Amino acid sequence: MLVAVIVFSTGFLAAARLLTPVAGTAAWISVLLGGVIGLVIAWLVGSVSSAFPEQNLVKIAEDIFGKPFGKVIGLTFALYCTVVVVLGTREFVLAISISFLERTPFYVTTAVFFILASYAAYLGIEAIARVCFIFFGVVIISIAILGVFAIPVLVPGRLLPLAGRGVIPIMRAALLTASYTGEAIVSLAFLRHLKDKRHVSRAVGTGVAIGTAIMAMTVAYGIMMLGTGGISRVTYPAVETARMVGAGEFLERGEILFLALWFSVAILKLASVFYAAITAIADLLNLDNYRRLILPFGIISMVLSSIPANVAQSFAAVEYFLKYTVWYAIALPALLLIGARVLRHEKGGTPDDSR
Amino acid sequence: MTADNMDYVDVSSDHGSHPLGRRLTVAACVLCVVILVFALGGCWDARDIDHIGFIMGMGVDESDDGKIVVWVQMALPSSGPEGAANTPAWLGSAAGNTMMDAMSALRMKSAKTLFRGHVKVLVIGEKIARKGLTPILDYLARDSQFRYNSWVLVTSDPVGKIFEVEADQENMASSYINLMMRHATLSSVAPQSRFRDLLSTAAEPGDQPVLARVSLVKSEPEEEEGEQDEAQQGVWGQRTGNEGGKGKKGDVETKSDIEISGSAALHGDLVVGWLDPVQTAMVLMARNRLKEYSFLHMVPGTEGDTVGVKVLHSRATIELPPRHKMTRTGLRGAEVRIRVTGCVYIEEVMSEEQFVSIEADRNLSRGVSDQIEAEMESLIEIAQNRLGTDIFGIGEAVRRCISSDVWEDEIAPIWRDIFKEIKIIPEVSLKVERQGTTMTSPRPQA
Repeated sequence: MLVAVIVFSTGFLAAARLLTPVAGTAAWISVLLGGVIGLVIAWLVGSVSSAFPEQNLVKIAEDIFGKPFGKVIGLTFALYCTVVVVLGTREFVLAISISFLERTPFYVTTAVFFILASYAAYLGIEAIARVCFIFFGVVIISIAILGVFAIPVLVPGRLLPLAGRGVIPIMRAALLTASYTGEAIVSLAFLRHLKDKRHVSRAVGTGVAIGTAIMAMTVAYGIMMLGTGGISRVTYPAVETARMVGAGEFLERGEILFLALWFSVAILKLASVFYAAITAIADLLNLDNYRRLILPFGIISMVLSSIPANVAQSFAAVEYFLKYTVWYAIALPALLLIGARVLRHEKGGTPDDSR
Repeated sequence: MTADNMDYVDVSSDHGSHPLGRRLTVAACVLCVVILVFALGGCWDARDIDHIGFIMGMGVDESDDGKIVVWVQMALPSSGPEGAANTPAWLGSAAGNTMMDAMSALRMKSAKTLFRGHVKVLVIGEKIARKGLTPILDYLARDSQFRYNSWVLVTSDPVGKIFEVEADQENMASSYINLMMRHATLSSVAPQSRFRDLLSTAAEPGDQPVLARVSLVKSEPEEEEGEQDEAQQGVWGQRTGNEGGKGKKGDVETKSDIEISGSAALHGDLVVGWLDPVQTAMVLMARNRLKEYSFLHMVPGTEGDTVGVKVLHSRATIELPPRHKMTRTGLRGAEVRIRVTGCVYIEEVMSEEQFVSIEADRNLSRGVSDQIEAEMESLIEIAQNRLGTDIFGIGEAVRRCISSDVWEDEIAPIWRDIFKEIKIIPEVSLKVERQGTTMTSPRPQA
C-alpha cells in the first residue's frame, strides 16, 4: 500500500495534463505501459532487497562498491528523495491553494505539510505504514465513489482513436509515466523493515500495479470528461474532474471532500519519502539516530519547495523530473543488482556471506 | 507492503530521556494545542455568513457602448417566517471593459462578499454571445468558486429583465429557471447545457455545443380577465420588444414570465443562430442525448386526425465513409448517414383509427419515422447552409476514426467548410412499442 501511495498520490493530480499533449487519447495506455516499466523496476528493487535483506540502500551500495562510491550512490538517492519531496509538496500545495485556499499564503500550507510529514517521519516507517493502512482504503473508496458519480458525465468515445498520436508518442508518454512508477525505488530505504522478505518483489510490484491502475483510471476519466483539448487546458485535471461530478442537488462541490482525502495520502507519501531521505543522509553521515536530521531537512525542503513561484514553474520542474529521473530509477537498482551478482560471483556465495 | 508486514521500529530511543528534551517536547505540544485552538475555531480568516452574498444567478451581456455588463441575483435569506420578506433577492449590475472589471465594479455596489459557489444559472445575452463567449468562459473557468453544474442559457431578451421576473411558483428568477431547466431538459425542449458541457465541447470543432434558450413571455393580465386568452397566446420579449418585467399592451397591464424552449447553436464560442424546440429535439436525438420527446403526428388520409406519441428510447449512429476516404479531400461531398432507431409510446389518439391492427401499427410506425426524418432533413439544411456549424457531432465521429495527427493538422482547421459540403442523409426507423393502458379510446354513448 505504501508503494502504491508513493506511486500515485501526488502524480495523479496533473499526470493527465502532462501526458495527454504527448500521447493524445492514448495517454491512459501510456500510463499502463509506464506501469509495466514500473513493474520491472519493482522486480529490480525486490531482487536487491532480497540479496541484502537487513540493509539500507547506502549500506548495500557501500558493501558492493566500497565506501567512497557507495557514499556517492547514497548521496544521489538522498537527492532523488529530496527532489520527490520538494516537487510533490509544491504540486499538492499549489493544487490546494489554487482550488480552495485562495487567500492562504503558500508557506502556511507548505509548513502544515512539512510539520505533519516530519512528525510522521519522527514516529518511523511503521507508524506511516499503519496510518496508510487506514487511509488507503478510504481514499480508494473516495475514488470509486467519484468514478461512479462521474458515469453520467463520461463520453467514452473521447478515448478514440485508441492509438492516439501513434506508437512513438505513446512510448514517450510511457517513459514519462515510468518516472512516477519508478518512485517505487524509494522503498529501498525501508524494505529491510519487512517481516517477510521472501516476496519483496511481489509486494513492491503489487504496489506499483495498484498505483498505476489508479493513475490510468484518473487519466482515462479525465479524457472522457474533458476531452484531450480540455484536459491540456486545465491546471489539475483530477481536481477539475472532481469539480464536474455531482450527485443530483445533494452532493455538489464534492472536490473539496475528495481533495481532503487525497491530502491525507499525499502526506503519507511525503512522510515516507521524507523518512527515506533522512535515513539515507543519516547513513551517509554515519549518524546513529536519523531524527536529528528531521528539523534541518524539513526546513531545507520547505525552502526548496518554495522555489517554483507559480504553477508554470512547478510544471516546468515536474516535466524535467519526469523526463530524466526514469533513467535513474532504472539504473540505481539495476546497478546495485549487477554489482551484487558480480560480488557473489567473485566471492562464490551470497552477498550476505561476503560481509 | 502492509503495516502488518512491517517490523516494529523503535521510536523511543534517544529521545525524551533527557529532562531538557522532555520539557521541550511538552512545550512544543502545548504550543501546538494553543495554535490549534485558534486555527480550528476559524478565528483566522473567518468569514461570517451574514457578510456573504450567495449569488444564485449571473447574467452577462454587452452594453451599447461595447462594455461588458454583469448582473448578479443574490439571495437574501430572511430570519422571519418563509415568505415574510418582501425582497427575496437583490439584483445588481455593473459594467466594465472585461468580466473581471465588471465584477470588480459590482463588488463596490454590494455590502456583502459576492460568493459564486451557489450560482445555479448563467444567462448570456445574445449580443455578447454573437461576438464570442471566450471573455466569459475564461473568467469563470479560472474561478474556483464557480460551479461547473450551473446551467448556461442564452437569451435574446434583456438579461436584466429575465432576472426581474417574479413568477408565482418561485420568487427568484434564478431558482425558477433552475427548476424549469430540469423539466425542459427531461422533455427535450431544451438541451442539457451545463457549464461543464460547454467547457468540454467548445474546444472541439467537430462537437459543437447547443445552449438552452430562455425568453420572456407575456403572462396572464393582472386586471381584465377577459383579455386572458389573448394575453396567453402572445409572446412578449424579443418578439414584441418588451422593456420591463411588467408592461402595458394596449390597456391591459401584463406580467412577464419566463419560457425555456429551443436552443442557441454555437460555432466555437460564437452563437450563430437559434433552434426551435423541435429542431432542438432533433439535435438531441442525433447526438443520443434525447431523454424523451412528445409530438403530434397527423394521420395521413384523414382530416386533422392526430396521434400523440412520445419517443421513449432512441439510438442514433453515424455511418461514415470508408476510412481511406476520410481525408480533407475525400470527405468533401462524401455521404454520411445518421441512422436513428427507437420506439414510441402512444399517448393520445384523436382519430377513428385506433391502431390495433398490425397493418395500422406498421403504418403509424412508418408515418412517425417519416415525420422525424423530414424534420431532421430540414435541420440538416439549416445546420449546413444557415448556421454552418456541426451540431450533429459528425466531426467528432470522424475524429474517433482517424489518427489524431491527421485530424488535428489536416481536417479540424477546415472542418466547418468540409461539414457544409458533406451529404448528410437521415434514416429514421421508429417502432410503436406501447399503446397505453387501453387499446381503444373510451367512447361515451349519449
